[in-house]
Amino acid sequence: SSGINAEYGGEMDYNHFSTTPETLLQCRTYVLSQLNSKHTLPPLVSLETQKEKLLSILQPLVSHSESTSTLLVGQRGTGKKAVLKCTLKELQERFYLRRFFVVRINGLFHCRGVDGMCEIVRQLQSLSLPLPQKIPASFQELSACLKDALQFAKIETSPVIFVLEEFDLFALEKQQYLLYFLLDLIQQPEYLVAIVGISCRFDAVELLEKRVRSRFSETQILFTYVDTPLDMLTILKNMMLIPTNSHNTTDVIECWNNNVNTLFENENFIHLISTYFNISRDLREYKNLITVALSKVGGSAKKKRNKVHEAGSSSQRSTSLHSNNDTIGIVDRIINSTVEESTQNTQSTPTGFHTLSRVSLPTFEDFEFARNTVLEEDHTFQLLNSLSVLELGLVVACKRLLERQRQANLFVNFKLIYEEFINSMDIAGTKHLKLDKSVCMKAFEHLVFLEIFLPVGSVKSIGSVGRPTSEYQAINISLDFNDIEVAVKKRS
Amino acid sequence: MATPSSSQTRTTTTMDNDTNNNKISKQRQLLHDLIIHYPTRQDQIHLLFSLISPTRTPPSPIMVTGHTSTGKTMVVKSLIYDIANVRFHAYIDCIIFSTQKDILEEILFQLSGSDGRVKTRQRCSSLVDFIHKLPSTVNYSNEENTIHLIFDKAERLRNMESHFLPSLFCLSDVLETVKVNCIFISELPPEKFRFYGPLPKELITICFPNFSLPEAIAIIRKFYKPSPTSLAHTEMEERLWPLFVEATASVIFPSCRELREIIHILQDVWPVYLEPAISGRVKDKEQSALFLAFKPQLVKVLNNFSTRDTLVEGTLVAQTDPLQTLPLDGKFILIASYLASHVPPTLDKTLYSIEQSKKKSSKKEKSTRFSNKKQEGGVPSFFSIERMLAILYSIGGKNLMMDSSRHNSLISSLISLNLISTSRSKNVNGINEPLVGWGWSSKLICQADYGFINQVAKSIPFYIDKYLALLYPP
Repeated sequence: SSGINAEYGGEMDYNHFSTTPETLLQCRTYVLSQLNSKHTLPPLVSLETQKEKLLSILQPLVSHSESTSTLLVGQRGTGKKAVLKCTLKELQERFYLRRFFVVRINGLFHCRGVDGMCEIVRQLQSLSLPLPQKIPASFQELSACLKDALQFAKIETSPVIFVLEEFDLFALEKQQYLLYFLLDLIQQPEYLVAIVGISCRFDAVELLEKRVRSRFSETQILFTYVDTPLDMLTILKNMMLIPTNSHNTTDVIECWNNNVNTLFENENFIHLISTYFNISRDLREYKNLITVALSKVGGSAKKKRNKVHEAGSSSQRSTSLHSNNDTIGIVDRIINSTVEESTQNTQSTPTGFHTLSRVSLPTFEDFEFARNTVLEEDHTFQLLNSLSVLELGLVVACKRLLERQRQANLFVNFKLIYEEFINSMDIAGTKHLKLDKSVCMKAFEHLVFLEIFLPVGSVKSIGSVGRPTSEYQAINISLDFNDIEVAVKKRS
Repeated sequence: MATPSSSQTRTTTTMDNDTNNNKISKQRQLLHDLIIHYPTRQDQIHLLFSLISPTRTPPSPIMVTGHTSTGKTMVVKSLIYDIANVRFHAYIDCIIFSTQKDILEEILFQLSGSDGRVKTRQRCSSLVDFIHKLPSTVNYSNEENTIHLIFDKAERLRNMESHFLPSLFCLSDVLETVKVNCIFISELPPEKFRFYGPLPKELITICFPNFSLPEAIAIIRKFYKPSPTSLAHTEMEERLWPLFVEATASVIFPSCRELREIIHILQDVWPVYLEPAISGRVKDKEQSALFLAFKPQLVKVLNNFSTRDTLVEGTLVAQTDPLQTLPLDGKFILIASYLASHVPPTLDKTLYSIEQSKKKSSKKEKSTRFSNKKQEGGVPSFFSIERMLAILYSIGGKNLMMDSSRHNSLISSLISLNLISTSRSKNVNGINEPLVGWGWSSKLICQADYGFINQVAKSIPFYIDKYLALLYPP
């Protein structure tokens, strides 16, 4: 069987096609693994100009031995690393007689100068340049032995390309030692280096000090998002199609590809992607979308579960202190029905092979589900929905206080919230929620932990946990009043 | 439908496929058991399971959110440890490992123990170190090389060294041979994790919503049974438990939705509920009568559940009672400091002057009395020790004359009880962290609230209200 079979045969999956189960499973896993793989070249759409520009900058390095530097600037998910990968590969193919070294450092990890130098030396060591076995610890020694190694590389006419990811974080270092050292190498004729910085801050060059900036060549390549939803659709389609080759599983792959093509012609799907395009153009989010959509179980089980949920919510309204047998019955039915469903899903045959009566090819509903999962709008609402009635009452009391004090100084603390809460309970006439202060304090502390109530103070107080709250601590609310109103309405 | 033909084709395939199928069926069985064990979490379990895989990584880290005791940690742990065939995983609780260095060392420690090897601890001082030590800790023989890292209580990761959280997202990019997948479990929604502008990668979020009342009742009835109190009545107990759960949980539910808390209260209160039935006072068939007898206890429970008071002979007794441990002069000092904190100094003369002033206060003075409204929100203010002592002698009389060592030690003990704090403690309105060594000239503030002071005053007895009456204009 083909290579795909051997690699992913042991993996369990829900999607089974009735005639040839294994290979369709592999189609799905193949697409999912290619989404995030390091070894494949991503297909470039509408990035030709940037690629040409980068190639024109790096080519003189290899062919004419000129040191250069450049900066790739663009927001996250615009294809900077992808273009760099493609360019480097093309350089390798064009100039296969000359070899060049690539050293990568990242601003998140190597932001201290010494760390960055250590990493460079380590990577060059593995590329068999002459470097001492034990890596020195101080910056001076490191720079000295690095210079020696680079001189050797120049003599061999093998240029070294330094790739600095998160370039702006290097600039945050005190006195920018590492950047100064690297950019200084360009000016000197003994070394043959190129420095490619990648950054998502458009003002990355402004962050550089004067002496560093003067050594930088100021050529920036700008990356922008995809212009139209159609381009995005092309990219996504390329990601989901399986390249056809002359293996014996061609009919399954053809079936998959045909299904993908029909899906991309589906109007609802195009509309979904276009509306999502208004929210975000970051390619990584679309990758998440595809991952979740392809991971989803088929749609038929979902409808059944919706009915069960409706029964559950109606029973919730009718529960009272002295319950009757009906609610008990409904409640137990909820549990038992989920048990039944999962047994249905995993009915086993005598040979131990499980069949599922669901189609496995990706459908529009899968993508809809994926979009609802990936988009984050629901989380504040979920948060408010999960609060107990007492906690929600405290939130509403705080909101009322803040609305009333709009003209005066907005000073709210637990004591005031508690009094307001008790007052409103008195007015509403509900006695069973008139609880002790300690119980309300516990609910209040939970709300502070969830960062719905924020103590007014220094910025450091955000996220610092383990501080006991006092009653008199001034509190600010972090939610919008509209959110609270909507949540309360949906509760009742 | 296609089973007979596929089974026939199956028997003719190699042994490899058979063992694969056995693995698949075993996995399926385990997954099925997991879904039964967590009844309402089917969607989340399916989604998580399909994202976790030994061979490939999802493009972004996964974040699991939801309130306390909604089953997040349990589901993720069971999936990673038992069900998905993941060889390399590490579970980090960010409360136990609170610094970056601890976390990295613990990850390496746990990963070195995979595949049945002996765990070894290595030093790891920074992320750079970690990146270099990671590939050697995890040896690869085949394609299954994805490392899954679970970070529980992930909101604490934000407070550690800067750039730790974003660098966790990018770990997979920086490492050449290793694929790393991070799963963050937290109560806070993912919006709270953005401090540096947009994160390097977007998260895939899986939300665990809180249980509704019928779901909670059904789960408790199915999975939690109380320990039987007496052998003779097990049958009756089994009959009464479901109804008890339903009735009591519905009362507790508006105040507290945490499953663990509700179970704890139910288990505490269950003997109290059973007691009339066992002793024969109330016939167990009459459930409404049983519940009526139980009702006053239930009210007490509701008001006290946050303090976890223990049940002593059917009634609730508080664990510690500072009222009984304070001596009389200590109580007076506490009351005096409360008055000093809450009553503004301008009223001192009218309230505390020992000589009775024969002058009638003019109308102007009377109006100035009430113009000092109570401070907004009843926030206490700082007072100096001399002022507090003056108030003390005026309210306590000559009996309370004490020398400085006595009242120094009393004030110190009140500070250690957190009823008074000094101005040198950090964030006085928040933390009560008394520093060792307060001086004569430092300012103090009283942190006790009105309810407690009232109790203390009543125990003396002392009427505090006439001093506080001026704060509330008529």
